[in-house]
Amino acid sequence: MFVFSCIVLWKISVAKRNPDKVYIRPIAGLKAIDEAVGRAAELGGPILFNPGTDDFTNIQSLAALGVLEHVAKKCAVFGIPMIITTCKPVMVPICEDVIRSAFDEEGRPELMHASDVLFIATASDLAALGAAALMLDRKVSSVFLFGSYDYTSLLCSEGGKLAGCMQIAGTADYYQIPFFIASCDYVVMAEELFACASYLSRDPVMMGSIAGQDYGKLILFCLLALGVVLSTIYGIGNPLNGFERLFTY
Amino acid sequence: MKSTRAITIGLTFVAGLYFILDFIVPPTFPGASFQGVVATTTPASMVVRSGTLPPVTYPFLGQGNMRPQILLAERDVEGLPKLTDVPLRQVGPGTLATVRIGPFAVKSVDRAAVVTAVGMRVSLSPGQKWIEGASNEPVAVPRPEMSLLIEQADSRVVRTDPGSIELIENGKRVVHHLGNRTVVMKLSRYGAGSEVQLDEAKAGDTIQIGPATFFADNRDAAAQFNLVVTTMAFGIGLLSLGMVHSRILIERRPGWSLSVFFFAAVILGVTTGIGKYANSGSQMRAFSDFVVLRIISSVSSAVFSLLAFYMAAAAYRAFRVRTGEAALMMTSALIVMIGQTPFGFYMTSWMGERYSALWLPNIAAWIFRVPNTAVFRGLVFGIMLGAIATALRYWLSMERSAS
Repeated sequence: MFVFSCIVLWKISVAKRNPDKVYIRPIAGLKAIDEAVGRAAELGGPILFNPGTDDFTNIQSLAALGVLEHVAKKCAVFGIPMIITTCKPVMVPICEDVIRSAFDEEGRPELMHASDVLFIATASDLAALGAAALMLDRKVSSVFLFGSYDYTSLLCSEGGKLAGCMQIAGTADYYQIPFFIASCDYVVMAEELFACASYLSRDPVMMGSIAGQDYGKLILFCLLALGVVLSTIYGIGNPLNGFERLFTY
Repeated sequence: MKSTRAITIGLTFVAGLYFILDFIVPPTFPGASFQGVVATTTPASMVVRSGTLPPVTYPFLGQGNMRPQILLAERDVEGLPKLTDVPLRQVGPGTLATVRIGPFAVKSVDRAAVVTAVGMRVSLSPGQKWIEGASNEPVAVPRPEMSLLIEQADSRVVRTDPGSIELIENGKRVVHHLGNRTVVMKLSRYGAGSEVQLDEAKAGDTIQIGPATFFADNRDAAAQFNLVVTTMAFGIGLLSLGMVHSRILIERRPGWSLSVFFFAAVILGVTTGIGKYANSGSQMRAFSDFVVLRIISSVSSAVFSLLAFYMAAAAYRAFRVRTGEAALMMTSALIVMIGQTPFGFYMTSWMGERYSALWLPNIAAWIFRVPNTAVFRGLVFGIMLGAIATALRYWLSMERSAS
């Protein structure tokens, strides 16, 4: 982890010096954010954002806040009302702060209301149903489901499907990805969620960290390949296989 | 504003550094931790001396009350003295401690020791105080058939021996001499390990031994701090919602009747929560149990049952074969779903044992075991690296939304 962190910090410093050199491939789900916001502007309905079923101690929730900031800025520009639903009370002031900063940055602080952030219920299933009911009740145009989800992901996304919303989801919970793929229009999967904030902001520091992440994956892949070759030659559990001993304790 | 941000960045960095140094570095440092099955243990011991009296050795051999307790004198929040039970690794030569064993049942007494009901010998020495367990009165001499508590107060630790443990690691027996800062964790099959003392590790247990950290014994305090912060945030959220809904009620905005439900729900929730800790049989407790077991539990079950129908509806929409990849996904989904039912077995079992590799259940198991696991692990690698990079950005305050 120390090596990986050093690589990330090195790529961040490289990106600061040459911001144009860092390239992130297009992510369909994030490109569609503009389309979803445009749809909401045309239809006149609000946008619903759900930052997941966990609180800020989950790294996915923090990644979702990066997307929330971007979506909030877009909503501020076009004057689209926002609804943020959460099942964690601790996320209420955090989300309020994020959207307030976003609206302030776009010069539209008057459009932000504290009542935009709704804590529905502590139980994630009841919160999902509440969000689904809101989608139907308030004729939500676009739904963003980013963050950590449990089994209630389908309750949320099916509700949006029934309401006829355009849905973009993003999660790193591998068991929920198939449900989102089945019911949402666009899905940001696994590690792409952690690249969201960097992709949307185009900030050199954050893009550098994504590049460093890819270098880390490359090193991991090389170690995996080496391990497979050595295990094939020596066999598993062979004391001569020092490489295997290095990673076993 | 700039100084506030600088303070926030500094605090965030220090907090992250503490977490890394305390939780991540020690167990992952090569050669720092060892894991294996316990073969034998050599018990720990502690030698203490009261004043000029001869030193006394206390081996850490027993279970429960027979295990010597090491008590350090501290002050509580009101400044009153109290004795706190600490593990052996928290004391060293020169520490002023009280050692306590018992109460235990005495079977027989000789000049130098008592023999307990289970046959253990506990040494007697001049620096000890012998207390009758039942009455809490000091006795001059222990006698058989009594409940005895042995206490050696205000004694200086002369030396400690953490003991050693012989582990079976990868088929080989390895003896590890424990250090003064070594933590012994007993690993369970289902969850994370829990710290145990050396004498609680029995032959056959799976044990991990590793270094303790400076803050290891203060993790409870850190966890309580987290609890306090979370509770405060809970209160802030509730306050914010209360203000929003009260404004809606006062101004009679559209949907104000729903705000009445909010306040009713808050009162109901608070009453239910208080009733949970009321005396069993009381009305409050009965009310709380009714709300939780009869209403919330039933509603949650009903909501969970919706998932089956939602899954069927989503699958019906999603499994449209338009491309080659979709056809591959559909085929593997069909094989896995049917292969897990008895019907799947009957469909292909006619092929016989010779072609058992082509049985649907075996193909389904292969799909789970090989390609699915490969993809799963690849996803996990990517997720973990992404999470580390994101956490690194938050730790160093480089994340834009963090500002």
